[in-house]
Amino acid sequence: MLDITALTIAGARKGLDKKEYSAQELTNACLSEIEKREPNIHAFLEVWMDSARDEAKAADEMIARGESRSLTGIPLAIKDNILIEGRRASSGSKILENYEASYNATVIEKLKREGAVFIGRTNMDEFAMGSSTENSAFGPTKNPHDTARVPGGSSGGSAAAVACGAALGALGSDTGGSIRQPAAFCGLVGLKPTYGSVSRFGLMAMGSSLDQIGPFAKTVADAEIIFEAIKGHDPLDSTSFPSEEEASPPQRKVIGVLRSFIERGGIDPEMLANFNSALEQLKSRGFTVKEVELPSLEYALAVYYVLMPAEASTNLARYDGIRYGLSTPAETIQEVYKKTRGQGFGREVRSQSMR
Amino acid sequence: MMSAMAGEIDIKALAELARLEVGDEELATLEREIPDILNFVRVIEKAAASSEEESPSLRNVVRADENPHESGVYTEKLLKAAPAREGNRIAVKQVLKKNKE
Repeated sequence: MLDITALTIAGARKGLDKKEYSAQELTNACLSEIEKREPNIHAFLEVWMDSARDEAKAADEMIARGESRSLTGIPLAIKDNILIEGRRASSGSKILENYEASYNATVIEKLKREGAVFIGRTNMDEFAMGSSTENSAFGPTKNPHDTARVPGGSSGGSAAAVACGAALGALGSDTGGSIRQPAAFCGLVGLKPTYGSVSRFGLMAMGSSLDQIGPFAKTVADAEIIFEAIKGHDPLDSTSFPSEEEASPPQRKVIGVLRSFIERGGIDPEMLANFNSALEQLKSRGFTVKEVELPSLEYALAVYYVLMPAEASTNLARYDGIRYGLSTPAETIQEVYKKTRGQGFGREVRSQSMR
Repeated sequence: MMSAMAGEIDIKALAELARLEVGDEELATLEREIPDILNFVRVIEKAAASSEEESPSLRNVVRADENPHESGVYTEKLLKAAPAREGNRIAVKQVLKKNKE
């Protein structure tokens, strides 16, 4: 029996390629973990049991042909705001409860080419507005390490899915911490990639100058594997970097630490000690650690809370009951808009849409 | 607008602009919450004077207007998601009225 909760993507890659176990066995191990844990955690809005098994079978055939790629046969969970053609994608909202995606997000196209297995779509704060996954229209997700606690958010379902062994990795989206914060809450590695490095085509937009899709994984190496698979220029997302503009990794590794910011207070002493010991470890591995100041940092939160709602309310204007999603019948078109949005959006989304 | 105090925000008008039907009780709580954003605007106002202007490097991200896809290839896929349709159109309630009210 596979110990799925400890298994990494890199480890599974070796196991699959050496034929120690099949992609179907790996997927079944995740599905049985879901059966055990999901009733208490609610990481998923939908588990794609049948199609996941079919995808695993196809992955086994790829592996048998010697065409295995880094994510072939790896079970992944996908945040509910990333489109998979023919699959429901609701962004955790009643307004899209029955919406079926008309096309694939670019990141999904890339993962399909890898031969990844899509295990299910994960719970989230409605339209990614929140930091606890309590704002989902379909009920909250619990932290697998302690179900009395939240998993963080807005990508809390993706974080919980990886933390409980329901998937080996997951995709989330991060506008103002929605990958990094739940990853921290669930003891995982979460990456918000540099803006422009991953295509957002097929991601339901929140704050367009901030949104990025990124990975959840158990290790830095695993997060890198997913990031490498999904990154790259996309003609369908004009904000994605042309490949020639991609930053080459610096040769001299210098890590900046915002010492005065960190020591302002508000961080648990145990965490601070852990952070400092991590810095010592990095130093011993050859990194230079340097204290830096970001004078504009004190304005960051204010800028975020002005820009984000402005961009989000613009992006949410498309949910009006006309082209897709919920449509509440009414006498006039103005009433259709108002009733659909009033009933379809949850409290937090209504509030953000008015800012 | 930027100097508006909490009480000066017409919350009903904001809901109207956002095309949202919001109950009176909720409007009352929003009336207290929403003006918070003005505090953030005030913080940014303090920053503006001291920051240097940077000119970003610009590039054209618009594709050439050529090689369009075959007409209609996405029509069915997209119409399938529409709440109401008439033939190859999305059906909506009347937008313009003949007589002025």
